[in-house]
Amino acid sequence: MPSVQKPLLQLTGIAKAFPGTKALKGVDFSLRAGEVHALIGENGAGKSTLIKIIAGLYQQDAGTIEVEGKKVAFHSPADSLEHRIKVVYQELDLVPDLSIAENVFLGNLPKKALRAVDWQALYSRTSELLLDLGLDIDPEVPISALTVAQQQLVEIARALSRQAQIIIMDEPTSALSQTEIESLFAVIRRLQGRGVGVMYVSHKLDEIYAIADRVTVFRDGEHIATEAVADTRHKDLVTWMVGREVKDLYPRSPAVRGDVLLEVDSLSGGNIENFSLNVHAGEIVAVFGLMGSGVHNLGRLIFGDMPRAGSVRLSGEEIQAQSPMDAIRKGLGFLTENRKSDGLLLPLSVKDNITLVSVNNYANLMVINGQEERRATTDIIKKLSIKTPGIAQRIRYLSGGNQQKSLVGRWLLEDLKVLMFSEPTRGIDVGSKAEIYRLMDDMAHQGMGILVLSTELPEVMGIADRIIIIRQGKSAGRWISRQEANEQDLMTAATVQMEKVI
Amino acid sequence: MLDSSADTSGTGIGKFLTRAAHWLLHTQEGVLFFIVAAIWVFLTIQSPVFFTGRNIGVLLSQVSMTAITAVGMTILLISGEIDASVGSMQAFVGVVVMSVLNSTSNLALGIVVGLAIGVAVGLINSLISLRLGINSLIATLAMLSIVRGAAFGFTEASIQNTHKIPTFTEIGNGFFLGVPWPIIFFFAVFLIFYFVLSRTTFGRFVHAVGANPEAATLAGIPVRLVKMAGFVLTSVLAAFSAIILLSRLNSGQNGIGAGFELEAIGAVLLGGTSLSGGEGSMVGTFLAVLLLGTLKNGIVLLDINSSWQVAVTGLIIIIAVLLDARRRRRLGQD
Repeated sequence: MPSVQKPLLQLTGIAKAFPGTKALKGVDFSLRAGEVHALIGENGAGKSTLIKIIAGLYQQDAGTIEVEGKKVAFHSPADSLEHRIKVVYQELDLVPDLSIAENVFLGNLPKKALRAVDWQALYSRTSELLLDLGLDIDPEVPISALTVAQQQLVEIARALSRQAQIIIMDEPTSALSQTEIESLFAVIRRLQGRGVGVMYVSHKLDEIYAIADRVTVFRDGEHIATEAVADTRHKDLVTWMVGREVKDLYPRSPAVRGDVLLEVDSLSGGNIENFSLNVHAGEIVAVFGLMGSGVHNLGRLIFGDMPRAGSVRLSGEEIQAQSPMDAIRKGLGFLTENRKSDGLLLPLSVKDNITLVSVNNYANLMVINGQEERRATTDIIKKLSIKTPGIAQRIRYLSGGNQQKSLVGRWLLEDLKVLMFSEPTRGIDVGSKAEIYRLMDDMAHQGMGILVLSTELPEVMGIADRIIIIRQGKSAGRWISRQEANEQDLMTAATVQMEKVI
Repeated sequence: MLDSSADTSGTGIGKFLTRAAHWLLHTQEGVLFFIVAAIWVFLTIQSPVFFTGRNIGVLLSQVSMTAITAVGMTILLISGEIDASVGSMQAFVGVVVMSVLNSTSNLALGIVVGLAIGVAVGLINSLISLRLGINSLIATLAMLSIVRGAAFGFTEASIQNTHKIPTFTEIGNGFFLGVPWPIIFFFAVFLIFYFVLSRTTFGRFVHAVGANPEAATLAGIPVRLVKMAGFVLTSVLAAFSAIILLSRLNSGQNGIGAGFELEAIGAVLLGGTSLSGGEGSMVGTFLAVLLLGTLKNGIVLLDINSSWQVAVTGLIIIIAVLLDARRRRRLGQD
């Protein structure tokens, strides 16, 4: 081996612009053989764009890509594969109805005479690859029968089947349990031992410390730092990512508790049975539950997006079942947990997204007063410091955090009494999280009631004045105040008790 | 319509030119405008007749029916639905209106009956698509057959004009201040609905329900009502087209309008309206209709076998899809 080794992958001065945004402004990144190099940054930092450029899905506007010291140009994903680069995406691109083996060798099936598939070789070679990754499973099983963690290993097996020397993992742990994460790390270490370079993209900092050798931070499309992980403090990483120190993630300050605003009485529907709660003015109330507990359905039931039994009153007035329109008219707003599928109008502008609910307020006989609408939008963008090149920018191009802030802004333009947030900070970065929490605190101080529905314990404990737990669709126990809340008790109360079967 | 990425540096005329260049090269409307302009220049050079008031009048009158229907179709497609039944409407409305005129000699009644058929078919289309949950392409393709069947059931032969109301003939063939009436109807309908789509809350809701019906519901927008309005509007405008066509042909024919739906939908798609809903352009539809008319007109002027006029629709659809793919690539939506 030569003493000065060329890096496996060297990106220099990569720039890429989309209409209205510069996603990457000349960034560098290098990956050595046998190294795990983490790339971190907030949403919108440019991580995904860089991955897509390496994968050959986008072409860079400027900058060079070198693989093992040779300058290359990727015009399509095939070019990238040719150079033994494999991207394992967050949303895995496997064919669910085909077998594991067919997926692993998709586009590369072992052939016999007359170009017929050599099934025997296919299955035996797949088994070898899988065993190598610690997965002892029949290669004829269809992908749809596997867990997400197993599917991920299949993707990695696919990479190995192509002798990949560079593997890029995009948020690989977002859907994995703790034990699954550990076995994934074991696999990564094994790859490392074989000289494979792994680019590990994430925004979970603990993982960086557990697996990476070096870390690079991007912010707003720019390269901020590249350091050895061992020499880097957690605090520095956060500061680099956010661009400032995040002092107080949960800025909850006590507000004056006023009259009761939202009263939910014996609510049933979906998997929810007989759930009651109330929210007062000036209060942040949280319902905490695990995935599948019904915590998300609760919001839809209250808002009238799902058929329900029981009563929902706002300031004493009954809200009609199955009519979000009536709920809004009476002063209730709702941000769902699925930003993309239930909230955003992706092809539309930031302005149209922000004024979606309130547009009637700027209209006379259905004709919109454009000036008033633009002024209202600009105010919201300033107030929530939403980063966008302009109000006409399509919301598609904003980062997750800025999209979420726009959706909050949508409700701020209405004169609401109570705003419900389901998973208020899912998938958004630390900086935006802190801003969303601050907004909630502000709203409570202005006399609104806030209802948070969440599966994230630290969030619930950090922001809520009162917490109630939902378990299997039912209320589990009494209200817990902010002072008496502790992680252990809340988690135990939320977890389903396994009853012994005799 | 200008993209925010247009270079806004510079002042006055320089700024204007940069923006104009951006519009021409980077928006679907701009590209269409460029294509239409190029063909107009070509035809002007090739044929002395092309760029005369008379010929342009003929060209625009010919496409006015397609254009009026395409205006409604643009709104319907943006709302995420489609209406394939507009072709048969040309026949059914035609035969019914002509027979009403023949038996009553009452022009207003005839027109009201024609538009009422539009409302009725639009309601049926929305009922099948929105209440019964059948995909609107399938639902309205079925209606295409049903309405055609109704036209054949109504009369076995074409219905000739026996009422002699002179105003009726004027609708499709007359002039107002030297401009053919169909063109006036076409421009009026276009301007009204351009305004409705871009400046009213209804227009905003149309975009919203097409972009994301679930999000629209949660924002308190009556999704079904908005889509229903789109269906009825499209069908009524199709009925209006049918009345103009009826006046031009001066007889109600039960076989007329075959392929009309493809022409209207093709123009809307070529104009840059997305098949997946949520985005579209009325100006694009206008330019696409203009392109369609120009190609048909050019075929006649250049003495090409006029049977090829029918094939132009297919060509339009292919160009539409190519431009759409190009736009998606540029926007980085893969």
